[in-house]
Amino acid sequence: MSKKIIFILLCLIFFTNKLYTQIIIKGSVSSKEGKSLSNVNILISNLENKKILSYGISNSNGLFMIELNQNYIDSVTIKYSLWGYKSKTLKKSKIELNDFQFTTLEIGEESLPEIKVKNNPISKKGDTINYSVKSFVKNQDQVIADIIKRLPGIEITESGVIKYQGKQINKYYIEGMNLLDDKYALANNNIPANSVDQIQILENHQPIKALDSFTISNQAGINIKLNNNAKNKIIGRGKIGIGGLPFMYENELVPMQFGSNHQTIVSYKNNNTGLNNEKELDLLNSNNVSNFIKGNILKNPILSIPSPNIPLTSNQRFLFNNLHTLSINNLRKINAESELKFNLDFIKNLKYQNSGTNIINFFPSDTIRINENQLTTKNEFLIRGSLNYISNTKKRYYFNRLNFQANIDKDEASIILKDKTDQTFFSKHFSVSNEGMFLKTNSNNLKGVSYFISYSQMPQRLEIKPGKYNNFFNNNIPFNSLNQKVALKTLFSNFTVTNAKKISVFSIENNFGISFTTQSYQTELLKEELNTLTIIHDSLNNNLTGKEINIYNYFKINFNEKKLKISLSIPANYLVQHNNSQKGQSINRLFFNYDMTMQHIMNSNFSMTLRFNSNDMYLPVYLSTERYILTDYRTLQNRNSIISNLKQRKITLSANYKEVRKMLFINSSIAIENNVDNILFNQNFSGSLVIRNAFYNLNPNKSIAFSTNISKYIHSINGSFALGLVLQKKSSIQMISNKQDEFNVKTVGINSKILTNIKSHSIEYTSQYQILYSGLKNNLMNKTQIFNQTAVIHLNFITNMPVKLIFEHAHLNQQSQANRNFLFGDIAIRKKAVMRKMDLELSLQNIFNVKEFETVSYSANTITNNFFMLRPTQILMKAQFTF
Amino acid sequence: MKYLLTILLLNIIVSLNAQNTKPPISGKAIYTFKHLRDTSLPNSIYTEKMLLTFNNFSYKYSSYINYVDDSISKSRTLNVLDYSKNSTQIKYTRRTIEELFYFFDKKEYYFVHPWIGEKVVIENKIDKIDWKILDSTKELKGLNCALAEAKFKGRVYKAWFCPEIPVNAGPWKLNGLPGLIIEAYDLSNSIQFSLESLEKNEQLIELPKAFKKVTKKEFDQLINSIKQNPSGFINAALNGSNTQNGSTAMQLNKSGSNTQNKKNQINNPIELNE
Repeated sequence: MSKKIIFILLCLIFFTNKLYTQIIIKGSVSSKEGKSLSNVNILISNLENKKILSYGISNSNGLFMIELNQNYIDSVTIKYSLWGYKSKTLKKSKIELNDFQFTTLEIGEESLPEIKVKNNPISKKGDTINYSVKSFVKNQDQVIADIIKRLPGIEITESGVIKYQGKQINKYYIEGMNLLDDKYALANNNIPANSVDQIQILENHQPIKALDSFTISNQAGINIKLNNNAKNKIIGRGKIGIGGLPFMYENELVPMQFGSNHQTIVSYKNNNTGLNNEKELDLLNSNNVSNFIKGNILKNPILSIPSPNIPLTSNQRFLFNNLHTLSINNLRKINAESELKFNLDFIKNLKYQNSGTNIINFFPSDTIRINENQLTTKNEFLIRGSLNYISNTKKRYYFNRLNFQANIDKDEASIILKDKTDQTFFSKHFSVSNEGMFLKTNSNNLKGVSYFISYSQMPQRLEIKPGKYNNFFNNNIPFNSLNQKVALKTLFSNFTVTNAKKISVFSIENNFGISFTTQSYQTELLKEELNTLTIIHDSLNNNLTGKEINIYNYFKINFNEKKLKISLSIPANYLVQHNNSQKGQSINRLFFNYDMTMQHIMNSNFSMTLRFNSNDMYLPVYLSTERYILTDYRTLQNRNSIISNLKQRKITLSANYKEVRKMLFINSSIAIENNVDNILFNQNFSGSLVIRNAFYNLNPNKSIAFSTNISKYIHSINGSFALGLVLQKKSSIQMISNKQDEFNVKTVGINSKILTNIKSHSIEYTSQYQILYSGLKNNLMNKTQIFNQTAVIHLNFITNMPVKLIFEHAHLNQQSQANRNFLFGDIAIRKKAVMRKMDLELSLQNIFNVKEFETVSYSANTITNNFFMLRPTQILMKAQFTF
Repeated sequence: MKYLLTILLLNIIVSLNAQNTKPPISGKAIYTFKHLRDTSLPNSIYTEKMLLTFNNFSYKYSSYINYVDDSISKSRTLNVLDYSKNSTQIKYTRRTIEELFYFFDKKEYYFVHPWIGEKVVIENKIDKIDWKILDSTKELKGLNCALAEAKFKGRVYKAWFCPEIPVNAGPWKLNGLPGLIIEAYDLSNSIQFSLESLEKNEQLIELPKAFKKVTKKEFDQLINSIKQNPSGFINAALNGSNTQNGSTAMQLNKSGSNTQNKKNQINNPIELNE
């Protein structure tokens, strides 16, 4: 019996042991090089159902121990894995204990699956708003501008100006460095979208660190933060494109490098496809241009060939061109606070245009119509360069910039207005200037000096063939050609001493300065007969030299508190201007202006700004000529040596509302402007020739404008929505044939913009509706409605093959004329990553082969309709690459 | 000469080695941590984003940002208004100020707590968690995960881990599985960790440079001394944290009176007495 029991017990023990026995597996793991590997995971799982049966983790000596149920030792997989090493998988029909000895692993990939959080794409920290590019980037985006224009609160105008909350930005930084100054469109249009990590809006940005505590900036700056893959090496974009018909090309190469202490962007582009790449090199910030204007630094054609300006929107449809641009920009940080940079641009531009113009000049009693057709060729050449040194610390700021610019232009046009007239316009403009500023601060005081000195000259000539207005210029005898020559030389210098002080919440700034201008201006109207040029009459020549001295004191006081910021400035000017005209004109005047800005920040969301300003301006010396000038082939103008003075008064009230977390931005503004000129032109028509004679007369121009914009990022449509309204009324006085009348132009405009994403597709819809009324003061008899809508559709049905469709519709409704509708269509198919980082694009422009387009513009008593010949249906193949 | 050559050779070897030691790869994981602190307020769940930096040998667990769940902060505010009339001073920026550092090879972990401008550190042995692997598998955040269960610090945890990410790290003190823990919760549903994001980065996991080593006993004494002497300065320096049971309890950072402290007591700490 007892034996039996013992047997059963033994059996039981044996059996249960057999059932529940854990086997213990011991092993070791090392690298191929023989180094023990710790923290290796050893997983034993079932071969069939992949269930994990047991696991072990190796210790610092590479040893491990796994307990495994005896039942599970058949048909298993054993997997060794360690991050950064190739995992090793063994399949076994039965586990042998010595399978686990001396396993070795090879170094492998350090990959990690990425999981992204759905972050709020916008975050705010202090005055900086961060836009995470990941949340805004789309498949079709190529350059940073494509993303920036989509950010709520930001718009990019047709000319490339970036506006935040309706106000122009004051600086565009790349990694905190200001390589391009006001030429930022070059970076904006060329930095590859995939190189950017974040876009930062720096609200109330004061670029001069030493000024930070002294003046209030209500402008924002933008900073582009690149991702690590884009730094410290040459990146960039390139493009090769050919097409037809006629033969077309479009090429570009834009290498750039952004290092920790140097930045370079070089850009060479050419095309004859109608792309106006030269716009990219425009100076976009209109701040502080008064020195440039006074010194005549920029191209300033006095004479011209009348030709309509092509509309800025989609000018690729209008422009027949042949353009080469080269831009070289380099910045080097000398130390943490100072930098040296040079910027150099070359533009060679040939433009052709075939256009027609209908001008209606309406008067109370009469209407004069001018219909002309122009065939214009413009040949423009520009070299512009600057060398800039900046040192920007909290204590002191210094900069010096040397600029030079040369423009050589030759325009030719055949104008048909009854007869054919050939015109040629030559212009050579050259300017050199040097400007600088030195500021020094200690705790509450700031002292500074700034200087500007420039020289410019601009000879111009307009040749009209055959000679016109025989009755005026040649006793009714036909002659070969009419030549108007002008030559203007300007020497300008300006010197300012700045003092600023801070007393608790007040800061006081005083600028005392003196500027000198010397100008000499020669004009003569010549006629060519039998290959000799002769002067027509003394009354058609000018030889003016004049001087202007302006002593000024600009006093400015700022009140800067958390909720309320007030800035008041009272510029006082003492101006002496005199010239050598026979009437011996000179003025000697002391006058005051004011400019007051009040900003009330109600809370972090809402702020209001109110600005009053008055500005008295005297036009430059050369604009007080005493005899006639033929400014274009149908305008003869005499300013009768009047030193013209313009008084501007303006009130602007604007309100900004932003709710960053809800991604809602609203801004509204109302501006009332009241300008009074002391000069009025009496216009007399003699056939197609307008003779304008100036005389002293108060000439008021009034305008009132209201605008509001709402912009919101909407999660549900994965896009943004913007709506804008503009109301404007302008009135001015015109004098025609000795009779004065007031003319008004009223505008109502509604804009909308919707960006939305449906799956991977996106639609961008913009529309503008404008109603214009114009006419005599109480009789707005002309009404025009303009409606434009554009849809840009990006389709991504096939991976790596985005399709872009553009539809544009323009509708024109003018009184007493038939409605006109224009429908344009373009298509572009892009094949992404044909080769590494290379895309191919095939585009078809003007699918419907629209041949002509028409625009309307209004000013006082003229309505101008322009007709343009368009580019025909064209096909273009482009290869674009980033590197 | 020979001596010089040796030094030169050694130098070259050292420099070669130095070139080879690039920063170790590491991963950056962000978890949402949810904790029902007070069972009498079942709708008020403490929520915080936590950051886990990990590599093959170690991990660091700390607060990610001052993350405030909107709905919760609202319900909190209402509650506060109910019992305290002067609600103007109350600010609800909440975050965990403690940090955890795990070093598997040394079998040690460190509890780091700020202390008036410095940091105090408690050194501990890693408690090996006895995970049992269960049959379930599922896909979480696109990762294939397996389920494991263990009893730990008075609670029973279930953890989904991903063997495809072969590291032993996890949120808080949960670790030791053959794959990164993607989600973990306790069976009473008081505690929950779930992975929000994951990405590679290159960061060393090191203890802070300057710190004061203390024992758990000393630390508890420090905390008690604060409790008895809640002077404003110390309170501020400590970011308003008080710690219960000497554990890594997550606390509100707030300035307020003692009565408020009492009101915000934790009756359901993350670590229970076993």
